[in-house]
Amino acid sequence: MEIKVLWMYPDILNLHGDRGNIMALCKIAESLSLGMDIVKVNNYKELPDLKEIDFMFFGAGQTKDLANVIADMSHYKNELELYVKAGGHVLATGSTGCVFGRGYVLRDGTKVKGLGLINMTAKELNRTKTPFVTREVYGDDILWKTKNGIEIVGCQIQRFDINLKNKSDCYGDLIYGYGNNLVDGIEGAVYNNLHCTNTVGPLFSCNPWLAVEYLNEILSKHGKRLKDYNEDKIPFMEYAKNSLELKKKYTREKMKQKRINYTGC
Amino acid sequence: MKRLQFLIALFVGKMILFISKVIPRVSGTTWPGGIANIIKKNFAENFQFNDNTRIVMITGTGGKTTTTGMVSQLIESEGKTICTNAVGANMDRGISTTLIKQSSMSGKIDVDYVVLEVDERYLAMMCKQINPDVIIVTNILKDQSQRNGEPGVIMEKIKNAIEGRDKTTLILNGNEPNCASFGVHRDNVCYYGVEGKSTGEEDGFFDVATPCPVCDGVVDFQYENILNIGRFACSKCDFQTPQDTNLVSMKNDKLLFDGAEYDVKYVSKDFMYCYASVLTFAKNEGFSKTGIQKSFNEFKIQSGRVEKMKVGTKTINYLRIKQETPVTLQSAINVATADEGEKIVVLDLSEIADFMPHYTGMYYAYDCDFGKFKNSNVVKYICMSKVVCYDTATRLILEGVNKDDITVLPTNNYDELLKELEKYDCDNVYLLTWMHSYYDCLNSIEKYNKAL
Repeated sequence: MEIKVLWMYPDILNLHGDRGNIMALCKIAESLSLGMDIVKVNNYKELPDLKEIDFMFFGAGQTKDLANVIADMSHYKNELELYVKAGGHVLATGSTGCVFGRGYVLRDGTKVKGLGLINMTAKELNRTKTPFVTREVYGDDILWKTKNGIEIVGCQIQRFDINLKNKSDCYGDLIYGYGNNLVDGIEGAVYNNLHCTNTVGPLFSCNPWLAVEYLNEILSKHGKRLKDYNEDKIPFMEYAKNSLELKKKYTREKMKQKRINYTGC
Repeated sequence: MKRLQFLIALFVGKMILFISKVIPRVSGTTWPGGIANIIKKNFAENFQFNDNTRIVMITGTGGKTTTTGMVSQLIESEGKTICTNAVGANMDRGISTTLIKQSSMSGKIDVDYVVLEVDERYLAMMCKQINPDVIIVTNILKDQSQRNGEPGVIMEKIKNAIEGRDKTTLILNGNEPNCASFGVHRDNVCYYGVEGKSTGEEDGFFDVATPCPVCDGVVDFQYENILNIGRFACSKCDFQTPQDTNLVSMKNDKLLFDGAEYDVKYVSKDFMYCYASVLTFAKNEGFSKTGIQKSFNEFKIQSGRVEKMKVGTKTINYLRIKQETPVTLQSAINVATADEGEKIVVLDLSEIADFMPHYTGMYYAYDCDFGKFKNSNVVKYICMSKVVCYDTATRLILEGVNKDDITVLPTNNYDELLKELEKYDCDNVYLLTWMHSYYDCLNSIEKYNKAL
């Protein structure tokens, strides 16, 4: 079978090398001899019938572009809602998760209404207390574990504080980093198979095991599974595992320095 | 009272400046201004200039230091007096220090030109204190994400700085969409650019466009001289490289601008943009061709972006990158791959240690075209660094590089790299890394060559 993927707004949502996620996904699928059909969608007019789609990927975008994305997505909000309710897979990275929440507030007080699929709100950063690099941005490594126990590593260039109405709707628990808001000790948001994470890196190139998890779930929806799965077939799996260990060591060293206090450590 | 406060701050600043010459630990480039700024708020606004002194500020995410150096050289070559922070201390403290250095005890600065390199985040602050006659903006690209987040953050800051300054002449890069957008609906703007031609290559599946800074469309490049810099037009609105852009081009090793020919020492596209901005500035200020040529002859870059280092029989070609800034990495890749000979490519993208907390981001590498390496006769790739070496190797794998051609060195110790290089016959090595690693490499080479 062929897995059908939509690469959403690739020209706009590519702030932190997000195309690397699609590159990694393609390489993994190719290594596992899995067919994959990827379609780029830059506006609602190009959107195919979502009933045919297995996975939608949204990369990280600039704050000003998120409102444009919401405006475009409002044209197919109902179809998207049905897709998500039916268990369709969606992954959004970086600040783009805000699009799926109830809305966000910018520093100048402007309120932008989101699609409302996840019960969360966001507020543009205006940090005046340590730790911060600048008021508008918090950049650091991030290490966390999904609810399924999968370790995820990457970094985050955080522009928003994200607040989930129900903390249990998070994607995972923070081990190191800023996560949703530095306070809650949680990372990302989930609704059915719609996942939002602040992690960039790109996510799939740093964590190919997560991509494999997605592929497995998608295949199981079709009553199939990865045949003769052998992770050694993925040419960068070994690199990613070694990288994870190095980064765990690196973050442990940072925690020891105690120059920055983290919740969730 | 305010005047007295300023004079005290200035005196203290000058004292610290003097002390810094005696005690090397005290930084003479930022401390004097830093302390003076604490003593007197908006310290820089109190300096007095001549009525005919021209104030020039140079900002942007890349190329500020070189452009400032070139503009300063131009002014000096015209025989005019100048006050400048050409060493790159470009935030409020550094700029105040520059002014302290060049002023009299009463705060008078008697020069024809004040030329200031200004950090893009500090432009609004400095414009409020010292009203500029000219602002040159080099480009607003992805840069230092940990500090800037996204180009939009910097654009907002620069928009705030130039708002209402109708008398200030803006000199903008007309080939860089974000930068050119500052001139929309504004008078008193000059644009500069560099001629180029389309490679005719079709976009690959993984190639993506750039968001239009004016509408919600995307910009297409007719040609790209540097990553995201070239002749562009929006696919949705009428925003494009302005028709009246002052273009430079190269012909028979001569730089052509406005009907005149110039001899230049540096011919890479990055430098072409610096020359274009300087020539547009010179045209605006009415400088002579002779003075311009003299300045081009005399201008020397301060720190090398490209250096050759001999180690045994091998030559290591160091290409400097600025981390988190894709355009510099792409330029380095372009230089390395332009060499058709056999080569070893060493990639040390390193952990990012600009600010606390240090971190391991190397997502910017995914904005660059690593595919160029594949057809450029690379016999070995060496990915080194303490933490991000494996991520670098993954980046190559995702571009189709064979795993057998990659060696990973999980270290930032250059002694180990030199040992590794001994294993290969190829003597032509390209090292792509940031400035600090370059100095580590120099030290290791010195030790290595001594041991030989």
